[in-house]
Amino acid sequence: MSRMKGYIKMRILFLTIVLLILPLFFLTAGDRSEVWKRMYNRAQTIDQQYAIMQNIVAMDDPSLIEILDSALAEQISSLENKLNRTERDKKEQLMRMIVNELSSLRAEESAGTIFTLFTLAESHILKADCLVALGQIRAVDLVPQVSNVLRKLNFNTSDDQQVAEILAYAAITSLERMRDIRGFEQVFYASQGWYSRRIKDKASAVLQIISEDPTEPIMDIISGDSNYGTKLKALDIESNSNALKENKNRVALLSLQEGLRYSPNDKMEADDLNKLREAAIFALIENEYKNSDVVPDLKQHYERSEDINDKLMTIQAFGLNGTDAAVAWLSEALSTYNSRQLSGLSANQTELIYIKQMISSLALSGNLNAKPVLLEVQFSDYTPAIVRLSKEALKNFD
Amino acid sequence: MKKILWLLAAFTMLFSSCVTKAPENVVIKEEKPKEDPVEEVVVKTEIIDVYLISGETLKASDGIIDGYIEYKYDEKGNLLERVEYDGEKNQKTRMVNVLSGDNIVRTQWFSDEEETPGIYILREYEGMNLIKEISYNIKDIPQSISSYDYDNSGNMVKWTVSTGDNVPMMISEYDYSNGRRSKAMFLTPLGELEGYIEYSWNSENLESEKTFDSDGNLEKTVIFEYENGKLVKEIHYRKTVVDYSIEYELDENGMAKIKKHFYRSGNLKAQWDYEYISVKKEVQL
Repeated sequence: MSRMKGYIKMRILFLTIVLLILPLFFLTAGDRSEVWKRMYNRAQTIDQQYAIMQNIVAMDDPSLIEILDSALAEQISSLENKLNRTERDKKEQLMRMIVNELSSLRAEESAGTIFTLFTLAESHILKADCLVALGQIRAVDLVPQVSNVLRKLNFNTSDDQQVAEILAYAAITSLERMRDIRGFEQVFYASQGWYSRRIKDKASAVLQIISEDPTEPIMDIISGDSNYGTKLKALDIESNSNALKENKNRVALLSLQEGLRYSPNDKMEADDLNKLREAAIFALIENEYKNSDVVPDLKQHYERSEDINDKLMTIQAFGLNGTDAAVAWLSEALSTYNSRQLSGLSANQTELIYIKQMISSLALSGNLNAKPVLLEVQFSDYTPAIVRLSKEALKNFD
Repeated sequence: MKKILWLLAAFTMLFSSCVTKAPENVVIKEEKPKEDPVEEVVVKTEIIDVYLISGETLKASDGIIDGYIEYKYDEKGNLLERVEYDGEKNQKTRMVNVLSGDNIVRTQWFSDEEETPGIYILREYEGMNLIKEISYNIKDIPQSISSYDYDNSGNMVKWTVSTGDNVPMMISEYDYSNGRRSKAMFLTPLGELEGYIEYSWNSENLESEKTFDSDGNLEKTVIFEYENGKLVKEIHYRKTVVDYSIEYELDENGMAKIKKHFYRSGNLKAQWDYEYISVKKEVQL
């Protein structure tokens, strides 16, 4: 009886061991790889190849990359063969399995084979697998090619939008994995493109992953794209990126210049251009741009703008810029108001707001050239509140 | 000692059944001549901790997470399910084990299409030994049949792979020396040698595995390195040139917590982080 119990116990234990270990240590991976590799080479039919490939794939053995690559190349070379529907489906499944395994094994050496399959395959699912695999294996040499695939999809010329979305998603995922700045531009256009919200959201999220400092492609987009809304979106992305302040200012300055360069054809374009300029000036303030080269552009924008808040922000930008040129413009503008006030032409409410902002901006500049005009304010017949503000500003230069 | 053996067994499972190639020292050590199970009667048992891998995270060299693998076990620690996901947690592959009498049915899906598994494998056992594996396609038609022969010590000496209609296609024969596998030979059904592997050992562990073609030309070599008896590095050569290498970082239990795969240049290609659970296991004294 006790012998029987012992046997039962042992039986239970055996099954446990069997489940856990026996199938696993039974053969070393090395000989299994050798056997299945040789078996695959002998397989005559798609069914046999598929069955054997399942065993190869299950091993996840990096030493089998070579056999996987040549197996895929062989399947590509026979893509033109006439097959019935069942065989064609099986062949597609086989190729998907190989591509996904090469992807799992990060087989960089197979990037060319996979891209060849992408260009020749008819199945969009297989094409999508190829794109994702290229990203997974970090085939960065093929960033231009994958970007070009996405570029064509962005044009929305496909007859089947559903298929185009699947491929676009795969291309975006691929470029996300590659994290190469060259992929940025087309992912940006995908985020602004015709796609469904899901694809656009994916593209927007990927933009931040591709590069922390997208300055160069953003500059290309802002200078090269004719759509003002697109320029504005590009500026927003740069402003929200982790780019250096210096680079953000480069983009902001370019955006301001673009916003001033064109004449709007209608109210909508005028609004878009004004928004672009506003956003650019906001970025210049946020990133404390202190170079005098922006002064002529700020001046031009101030003169074009009709919005009080916009003008106030521009005056603030002059003060924060603080260069001699910026202070000269502020001084001249404030001096003009001073002269008018002295001659009996009192400033209206809006002008008083500008005058107060100019005084604050001159103080903010910290530039000694600001002192004369601030002193002038005290003798220009303004209200005590304005004079007090001017005196407060002068304390910054003590 | 038994605890160590179980740790090794779990370690073996990790590296041979999951995504990775098995650390060969562990695998081969399990193939020492076995006692005749019929004569060995278990009268006492004890409870030990067994460490089982519960999750893997795959990271590329740039730190991006490229995938996950999750494992599920029953209360005895038997592997029931392994699911592989991509970096966005979309299912890529899935494997399910089901115990059916004395046999195991393993079902594997090679895509995210749940309704169409790619393969069923029925494994038949006789005593401690796996004697047959039959792979079926989704229409239950056998695709390949593997049968295994053993010597009196329980060492596998022959593996025959046949087509689904049982026509032999490949035969592997194994030699042993001092209870350890020393050679694997790959033969055509007519007995022609296609290639072979030679295994060399130190006192404890497998040191190298060399694969030759039928003319005796070296095709590839794997060198295994150990620290305190634990595998810490594999160097894979194609002929005599380094192809890639793998390094393991072990935790306090001797389990691999990190596996790193390096290019031949020495640059990191990918890294696997492992998590474990421990289960109580009853084993014979």
